[in-house]
Amino acid sequence: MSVQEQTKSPDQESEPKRAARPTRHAMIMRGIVTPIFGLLAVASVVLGVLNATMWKPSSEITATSTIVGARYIVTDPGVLSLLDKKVTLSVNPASTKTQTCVALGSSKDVAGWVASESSYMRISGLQSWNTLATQTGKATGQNTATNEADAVAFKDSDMWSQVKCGKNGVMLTSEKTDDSTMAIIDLGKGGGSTGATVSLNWVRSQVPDFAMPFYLSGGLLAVVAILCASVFAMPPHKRRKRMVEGKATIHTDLSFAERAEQGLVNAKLPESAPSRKHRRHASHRRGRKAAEEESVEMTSPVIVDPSARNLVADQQAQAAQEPAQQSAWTEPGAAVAEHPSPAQPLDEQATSVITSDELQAYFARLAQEVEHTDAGESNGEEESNR
Amino acid sequence: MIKRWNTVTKMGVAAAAVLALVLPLGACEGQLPTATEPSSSKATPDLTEAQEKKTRTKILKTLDKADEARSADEYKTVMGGPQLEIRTSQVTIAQKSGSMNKYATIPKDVAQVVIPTEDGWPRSVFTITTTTEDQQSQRLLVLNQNSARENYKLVAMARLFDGVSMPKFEVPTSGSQMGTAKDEGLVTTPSDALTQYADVLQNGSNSKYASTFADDMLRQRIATLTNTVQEGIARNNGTQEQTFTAVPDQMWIMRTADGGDLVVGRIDSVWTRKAGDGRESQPASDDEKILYNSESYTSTMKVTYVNVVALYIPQAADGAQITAVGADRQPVKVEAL
Repeated sequence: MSVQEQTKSPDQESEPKRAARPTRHAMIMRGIVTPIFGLLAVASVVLGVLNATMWKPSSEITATSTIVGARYIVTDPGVLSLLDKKVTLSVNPASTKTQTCVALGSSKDVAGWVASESSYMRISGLQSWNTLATQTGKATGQNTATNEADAVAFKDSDMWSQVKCGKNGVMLTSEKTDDSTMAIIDLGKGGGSTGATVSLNWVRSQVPDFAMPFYLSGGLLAVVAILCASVFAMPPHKRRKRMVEGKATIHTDLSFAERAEQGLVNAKLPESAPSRKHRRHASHRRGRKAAEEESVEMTSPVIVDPSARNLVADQQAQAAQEPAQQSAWTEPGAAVAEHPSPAQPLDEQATSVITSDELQAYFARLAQEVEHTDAGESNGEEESNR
Repeated sequence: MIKRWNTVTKMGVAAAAVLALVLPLGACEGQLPTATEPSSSKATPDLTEAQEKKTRTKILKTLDKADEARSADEYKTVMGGPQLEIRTSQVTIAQKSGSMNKYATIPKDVAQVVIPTEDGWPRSVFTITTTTEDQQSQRLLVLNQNSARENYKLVAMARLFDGVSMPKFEVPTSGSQMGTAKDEGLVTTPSDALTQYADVLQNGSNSKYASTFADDMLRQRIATLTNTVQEGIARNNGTQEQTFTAVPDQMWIMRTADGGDLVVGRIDSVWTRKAGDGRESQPASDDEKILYNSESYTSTMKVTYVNVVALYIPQAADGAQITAVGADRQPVKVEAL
């Protein structure tokens, strides 16, 4: 509170028109909270734009590694299709003495081919966005003895779905790579010692969209900022939100509609139901004190429909219970205190068009409003007195 | 008022937290993906139908070229097993007779392809072709890959018997499991079935296994042939003996959809004919004659045949019989003893 008071400008303090001045709450909301949210909103949108332009993840990814150590280099299952179904594999051997071949095959075929090697190199994935991760593969030892006379050259094997060979580097594109497709590179006899530069190139058809979350949060923050400057800056009681603070007592009474449905209109209330008091709309005229009392001693008033009244019967009843009635009509305060008596014929529920619960909620709200206005007034007085 | 202040503080903290979380997100390529091994434990077929077609077409083209050149040397790169011996014999005969045996024809189109799911080697693909142009029965081809560094070779070809009902197999996209020589739960194991069938071919209805096997065309033909030859030989007090020996090493087995096995195996047979009364024993057919390629005869002639049989072994059940569904038979060697 003190901070808020210090920030107030002197001319504001000397301002004679108290009613036109925004409340402290409104000033905090409009002066501090709204700019914060506004800045955040702008920052989010700026970040969003940056992510959609300058910082946009590149759709083309090329990962390269120089692999030395074995004649055969294979990719692990799933590596080829890591970023996209379409992948281009390029191999540039360090030495052009031997022929280099690249082939695509199913994982079990590739594994079968290298099973008789003592070791081979594996491309196990991405180490970073531009480097391939490599590992050394060990022979599985499951190889079946191959008849030397029947052995075929790497490029002649039936198992490969695609194969390409060359001496100066080979480039092979796989269009519809599935997870079990593997690439196998044959560097030729002795090619393992010189190695080769292997690169995988994908053009991502789906690039992660980092801009959209920023745009969304920017939009949300802007909305929050606007709300802070308008609705949240209002004193709570001016909002149209219905805040029921007084706890309404639950009555067994039925609403008018319900009663009409049951053919009970004009019928007498069940004896157990507590009957209504006569006071209505009194609080407006009686001011703060009466209202305070009322908020404490709230009972359920009724709306009286004069046209539905049997005036003759009323008068007779009034005559019979003159003293009690007198006090009830003339002194509202006392009447409230008085315990409702089920015998009173004037409090016919038949005249009620609003349910008692709704009425009670209304009174509770009214009482609170009065309280607030008083509090606000006293605050204002305090400030102007300083 | 204190409550409101708390709200403001909270909002400030929240805003700072949001900024702290959001700012590091700027300028990056996204999370580095890692390769995951396909987790499905389901066995996958070793080949696609297209790959099978490519392989088979390549083999058949090489075969055609070699047939035209009447040269058996080319066969070795694409053929193996009993089919290599049969085809070599057929081309040797063709060199003399001028034309390939009509039973050597292999249609290019297929009716059914049975692709194995075997992870290791050897792997066998069973292919059933269409009927030939001259309306001969369908061929059952066995393409076998012995190891990863070898290619598929045509190792066996059986001509299906007319009107035989073939067992069903899994579709090529899911692949069939390969059987082993010791598969259980069947009428007999595949290796026993081949041995027993050899006995049935040798002894006919006198074989103790005769009832295990349903009657088939190969049995009938061999029995008829033996009887015909026997009549002639008996007239001059000669003898004949035909021995059938199963070769369990050259056997290819595929599981059928109903849990049985289709076995394609090799049975070697030696037919020894001895003429009595000082007569000469002569070749029994044109093929034998060409293979013998000589006019000097002795009293004894020994002819070696290579037989390929396809047996369907159903699951063990009351009265279930093994059925021979196809066969091929070719003399490969004729000697005068």
